[in-house]
Amino acid sequence: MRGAWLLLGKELRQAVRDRRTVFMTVAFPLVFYPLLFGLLGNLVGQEQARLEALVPRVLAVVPDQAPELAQALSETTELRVSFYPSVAALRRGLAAGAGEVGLEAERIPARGELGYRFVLYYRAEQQESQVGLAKLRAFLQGFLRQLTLEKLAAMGVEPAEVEPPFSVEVVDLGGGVSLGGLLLTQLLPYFLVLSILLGALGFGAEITAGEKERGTISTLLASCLSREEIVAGKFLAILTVSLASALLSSLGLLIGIQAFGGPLGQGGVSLAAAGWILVVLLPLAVALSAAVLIVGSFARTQKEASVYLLPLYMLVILVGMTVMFGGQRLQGAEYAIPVAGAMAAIRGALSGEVGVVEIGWSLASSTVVGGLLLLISVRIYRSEKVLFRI
Amino acid sequence: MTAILVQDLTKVFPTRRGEVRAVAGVSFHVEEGEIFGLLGPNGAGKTTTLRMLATLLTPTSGRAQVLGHDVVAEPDRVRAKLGFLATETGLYERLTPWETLLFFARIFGLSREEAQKRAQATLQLLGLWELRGRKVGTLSSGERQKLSLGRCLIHNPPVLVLDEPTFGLDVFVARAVVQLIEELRDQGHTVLLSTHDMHLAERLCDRVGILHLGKLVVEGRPGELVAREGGVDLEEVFFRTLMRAGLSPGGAKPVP
Repeated sequence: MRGAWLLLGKELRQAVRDRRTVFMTVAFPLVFYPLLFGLLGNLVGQEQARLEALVPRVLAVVPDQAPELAQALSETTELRVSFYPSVAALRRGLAAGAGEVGLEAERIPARGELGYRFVLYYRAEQQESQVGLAKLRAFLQGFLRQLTLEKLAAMGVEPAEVEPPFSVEVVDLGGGVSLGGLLLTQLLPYFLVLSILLGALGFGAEITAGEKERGTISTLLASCLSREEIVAGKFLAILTVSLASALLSSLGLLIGIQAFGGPLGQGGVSLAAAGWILVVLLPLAVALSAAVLIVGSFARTQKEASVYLLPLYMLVILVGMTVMFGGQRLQGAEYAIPVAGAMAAIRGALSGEVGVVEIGWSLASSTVVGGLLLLISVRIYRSEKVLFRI
Repeated sequence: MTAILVQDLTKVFPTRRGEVRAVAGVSFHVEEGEIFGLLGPNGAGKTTTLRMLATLLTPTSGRAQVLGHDVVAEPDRVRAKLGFLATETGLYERLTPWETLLFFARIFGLSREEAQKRAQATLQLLGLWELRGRKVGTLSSGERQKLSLGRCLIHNPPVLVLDEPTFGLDVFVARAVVQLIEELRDQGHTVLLSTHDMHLAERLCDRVGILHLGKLVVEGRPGELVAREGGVDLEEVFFRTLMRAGLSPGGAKPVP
């Protein structure tokens, strides 16, 4: 296979001199992703700061029988309260955008001094309204607690004596997965697989259909290289570029999220997870590179190859969207579904949710598919009909 | 000794509209050190014949040998002894002439040192030594054609198969290419070429064969063929031969 290595060297030499390939493989992932996440992180950070500083406008309907509530609402600096005479007026005010949240208070005298009924109005689709709701709810809890404490004090009871003898503790079983971690788990598998293809597509079309278009295929076929060596050399070149693209995309994604992502930048990839990802990624890259080699070899020109390769790209996007964002989790042997299984396995490796068996299914499937596609590639390079498009 | 032997060579392409017989029982031979020209209108079967000799296409029937090696049974041996120049100048635009020759020398089995020596000698022979570090994409069409020839010569093959070696070249570059082919013949190389240029064929070829609709309709020394037709020139011989063979004014197309 000496000829395959010589061909690989030639293809890679050409690749590093091709501005388009270098842009898509190196510049795009290392510049675009940090920029994207820098921008995203900045926007999220700004939005978080804005929402934290937000003093929500509350439209309140408070009955005359609740002067202490009206007073507390008027005195608080956490809310900007406007009083309305009726619920209908309150609803109209909210609809007109006069406030983020509404409060309808009602006294229930039968339940004593603490007898209150509150109805809170908000818009779930508006972040400001959600924040207003949370702040209003906190205010009302504080108000009721204060009333309780005052009542207990009036009764001569120490509040500590009536504290309930139980406590509630909330434990995050996700290992403290941050928004950044969640983004990584969801996005990294998707971007990794897409970037394999992104790297392979243009370059693959260039060294397959491009060879035909320029007429260089005849010179290769008339040389001492065997068809197997030609396939191996071209395949290894596509594989190298696609893996470089995938690894640089991951690097760009990590840099983007962790260094420039601001509030997103709290996720990370453990060494073990990175190892598993590589194990899953390599045979998948083999399969996808072989697929690109086959599809590209059928075309007469690079343009034609790009058209033929587009459905492959769209298919991977579709599978990726379904697996990553579809909500349905693969089980057991379902990890053998090409591409989908690999994406799920990478996500599992990142979140620690899958074991060796699932990764094994994905690995075996990609290896078998990759091997079959390589065999088909060799057959194609023996076919006059395909090579010369007779 | 016979360098190229073609016997009853046939190539049929199956297409959706039926079979196309691109080459139909062609026979000829080229002796060592000889230049043989294949002439013919477009679609006559010249390129298909040369591609079969270069082992790019497999003959449907008949046989072809290069220095005693069968193109079907021993394609590796044939390729090792043959330099093939396709019609289109198949070169890698982003490599330099030096890298191009080095790459082809290496894939023809030369060691790194041998490859460097051959690349240097070839570039100097072609007058491209000064351009060795420039990207092929920046070379003129003449320089590229010379480099393509250099690529064919890099492993010093005894037999050269050249498909339209002067196609698209200006008169100066074409003359340089012709001189180079003559030099190669003088050095003992055997050359089989195809061309549309009758003046080139008349000047360069020891013998020519005229192909029409996949069949060799005439073969002989240019001088003999011209004399046989009454002392005109090879172009007239070509024209009259094809008219007798039934060429329509619009040219020839392969027929089923």
